[in-house]
Amino acid sequence: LTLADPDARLLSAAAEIHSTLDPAEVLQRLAAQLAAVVGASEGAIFLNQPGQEPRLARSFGVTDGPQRPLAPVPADLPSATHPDPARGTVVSVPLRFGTHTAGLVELRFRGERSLGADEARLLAAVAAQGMIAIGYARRFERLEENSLIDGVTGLHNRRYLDERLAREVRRASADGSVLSVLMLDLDHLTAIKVQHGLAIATGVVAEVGRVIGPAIGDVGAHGLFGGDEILVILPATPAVVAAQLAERIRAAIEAHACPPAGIRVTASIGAATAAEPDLLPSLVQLADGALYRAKDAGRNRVMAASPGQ
Amino acid sequence: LSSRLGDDLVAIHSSLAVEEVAKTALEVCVRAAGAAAGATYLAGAGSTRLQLSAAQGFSRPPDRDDLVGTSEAILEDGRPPELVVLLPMRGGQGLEGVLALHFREPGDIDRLELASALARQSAIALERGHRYRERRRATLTDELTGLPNEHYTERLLERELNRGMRPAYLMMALDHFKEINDGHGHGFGDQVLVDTAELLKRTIPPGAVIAHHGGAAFGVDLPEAGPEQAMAVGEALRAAVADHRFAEGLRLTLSVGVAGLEEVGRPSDLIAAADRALHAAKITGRNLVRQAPAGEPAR
Repeated sequence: LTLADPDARLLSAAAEIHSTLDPAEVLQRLAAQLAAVVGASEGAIFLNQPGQEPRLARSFGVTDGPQRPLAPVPADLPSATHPDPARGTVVSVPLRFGTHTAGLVELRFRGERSLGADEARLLAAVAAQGMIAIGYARRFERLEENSLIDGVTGLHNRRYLDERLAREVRRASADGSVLSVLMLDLDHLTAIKVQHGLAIATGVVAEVGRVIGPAIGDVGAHGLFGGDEILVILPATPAVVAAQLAERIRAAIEAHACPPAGIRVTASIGAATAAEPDLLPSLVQLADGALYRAKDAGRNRVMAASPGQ
Repeated sequence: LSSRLGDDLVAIHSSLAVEEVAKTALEVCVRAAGAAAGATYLAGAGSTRLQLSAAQGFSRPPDRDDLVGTSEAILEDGRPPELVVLLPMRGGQGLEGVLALHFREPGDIDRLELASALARQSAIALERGHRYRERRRATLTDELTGLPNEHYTERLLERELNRGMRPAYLMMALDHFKEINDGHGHGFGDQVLVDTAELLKRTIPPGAVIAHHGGAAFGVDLPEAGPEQAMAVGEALRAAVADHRFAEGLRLTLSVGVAGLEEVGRPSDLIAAADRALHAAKITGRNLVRQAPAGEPAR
């Protein structure tokens, strides 16, 4: 009792193709499985571009293949065979699912080659599986791109901070509450990178992010603003309180030993408060300026942007 | 190539939702094996403890998470099965679950090898579903619309409740969205969701946060809103969708459920109350805004 060969082949192709979520890997595996069905050693995958001709996404068995497909496959056909003077025979399999076509796979043979009905059906079935897998892999990729979390440190990322800040600015202008922000940068982080390596240094930044959370409680939000700078957003927080929180954060970081090596770091912090709505748009810039004055003044300290600056 | 296999594989691999995969896997494997009934048990996150997820073909379905429950089930003809076959759903990362196939007669076993191969395919689809769910939770993002997802608004509500704010939550869903997906294909349905996200985003008041809960469902957090204001926002959103022309001139409607904060202890309670109000709007005619009953218990 064994499965008939085409069925077994489709099952193993599907298992291969669906076991990865890396878009490039899906394409690679799809090409390999389609080529194996018909014993082709050369071919290419072309993917549709919005409003453009399909473009070469990956070729195999050849170093310098064509950039465009030889010919499209009519919508009512599962595949098509074209004689090609330069390359013998080209078998074209559309990547189609329902009414949606994502692209085209070309399998090339030297000399003549015709496609049996069983082969054509198997190619179409493998292509349909590839089509589904490509869709999922792209969704995963987009999930990363759209993420609100920095993939390396696990802290909120710039995208999150921009959205959150815009919201808090709107809220502050609407209800007249006082918005503060802190810009924080670790002192001598470059030395840690050089001495311990980038991975350890990134771990230190992540650890500092985790130290900030308890120091500000539920009131604010913080995340990686750019490079290694951490932005802390403090809604409804007057300047005096923002300065206290900044000092609490600074002291907590100074007292903390970062695992795994127990590395000690200090931080410089710039604080800015929009006491009036006019200052809201330039709040981050003000905090950034205060941060650089804290660095200039000797690091491991908090500086507040003075009003009117 | 057996003509059915391609369709079966498309069905198994066409969802990222774990529960949906479990249900499809069951349908496909019961038919492939010629079984009278069956049940899917899924392994819990990070463990191999099984949980009953889907059952079909029983007059008395299995009612326990362990496999003893499956042996006490009664088939649709009123008799217990003569034979139960357990197919492990094992993927690259380990056991994802178990499929229990129930046969009237031991001689009914047919194409068990095919069913077992399809169970393996289901395990691969389940693995992908779990990875998707975890990633979505970790990134707080809906990748289709670029909006925050439901995990994000749960955190947001928690923060607002902790800060003593009085948030209201609106749950909403496009009416008859499944028909659009089925009729026009998923690509078109996805575009409708992206357009809807844009439209809702433009319509919500400043300070409000919109999230995509997946599928046709969206949620809106109003950080400080009384019942009248929340209902007014719901009505504005409903009207915005009703007045909008989607691609190809398509017209759609939106049902909205509104929940305010009274006695709500946890963020998930507020979202659940809004969801129940949405359900009420759906069953009383759609294209409606419904408020969760006042003083509804918080659980």
